[in-house]
Amino acid sequence: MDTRQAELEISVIKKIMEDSRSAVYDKSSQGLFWFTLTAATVLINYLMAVTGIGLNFSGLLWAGVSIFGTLYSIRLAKKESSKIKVKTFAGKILTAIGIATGIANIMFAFSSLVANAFDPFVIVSMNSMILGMAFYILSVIQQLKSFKILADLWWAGSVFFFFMPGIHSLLFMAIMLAASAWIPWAEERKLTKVN
Amino acid sequence: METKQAEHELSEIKRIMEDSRRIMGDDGIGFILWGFLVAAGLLSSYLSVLGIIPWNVSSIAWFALIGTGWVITFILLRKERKERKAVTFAGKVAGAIWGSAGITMTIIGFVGSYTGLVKGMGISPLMACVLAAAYFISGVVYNDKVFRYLSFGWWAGALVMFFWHSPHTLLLFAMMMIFMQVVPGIIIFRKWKKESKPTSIKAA
Repeated sequence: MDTRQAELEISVIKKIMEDSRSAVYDKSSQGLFWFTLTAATVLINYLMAVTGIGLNFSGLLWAGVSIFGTLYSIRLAKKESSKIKVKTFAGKILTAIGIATGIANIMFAFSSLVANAFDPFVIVSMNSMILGMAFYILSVIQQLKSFKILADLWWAGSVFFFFMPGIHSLLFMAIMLAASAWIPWAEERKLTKVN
Repeated sequence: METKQAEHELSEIKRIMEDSRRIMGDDGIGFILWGFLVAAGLLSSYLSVLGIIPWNVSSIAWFALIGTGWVITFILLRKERKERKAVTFAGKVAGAIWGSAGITMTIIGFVGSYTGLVKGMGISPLMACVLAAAYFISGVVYNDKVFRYLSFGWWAGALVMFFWHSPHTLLLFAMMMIFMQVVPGIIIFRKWKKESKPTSIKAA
């Protein structure tokens, strides 16, 4: 493959990415939904832990959120599939990243709480680590600056909470989850308006 | 995006993916290299658990092996950039997937164990989860079923190791490294070598 051909291919890919980036943000609200929902739940869980109010219901809260989230997610997926006839390449990769990080994060929580594989405080660090990985890959695919910054922040947070484990890691998690959903969305909106 | 336009773009992507799949052959060297290095590190830890070699030897071995791995990776990358001149999209994505997985696993291994939050036996399943995620995403990017199947193997192995709190998980993880990292790496490399032969004849 020579330089000219590679450059041509990159320009084609870039165009497709730009095209599908807006498609992903306009039509697929799965990411926004899950990140916002989990951010709110983690924040409620954090407040429960700090104030000590309703801490016994924390398991119930997560169970309720998981059931609601799954049902709403299925509804969204059905709505999207009836609207979008063709799946974009970026959309496919985004789904794969979502599935991979989702499974990994569930496994981290499950293995710590059920299998006692490691300290529960490690869950936040591990979740941050895998989300850092996901956002780094996204930053290369989608060419959005905010993804790269978010990846660095997730990794930095992960290392920080490996050294300073504690309940406040949940607050970090809640803020980062909300930021990860809405900052790229705002950047995309801005880029779309400029173009 | 119109159906016709999307179909055209997808066919273009397919062509690029088929072309850039050869790049995976280069990555095959990375799979083989890292698979062997991590397996060697795991075996040294396993021998330490059994009391055959002292723990400080195993710790030094890990630093030396991972350090060597990163140095060789950077040398290979530099060489590749010089030879290829242009970086393809597939190459960029592969670099992002495996580079970020490498950073993640290095942090888990060193920071996790240094802080004491991740116990020795907990590192292997955590790394297996990261590898599973990397294989799954790679499988979609390169439209390769083998990669996707390997990701399920890594996830299954991680689950076993999360529940089986035994030093023997180190040996299991080393074997997983050989059979699910090194062996596919060799297969990819052989395939790449085969595919690159007609191209070089054509170029000549």
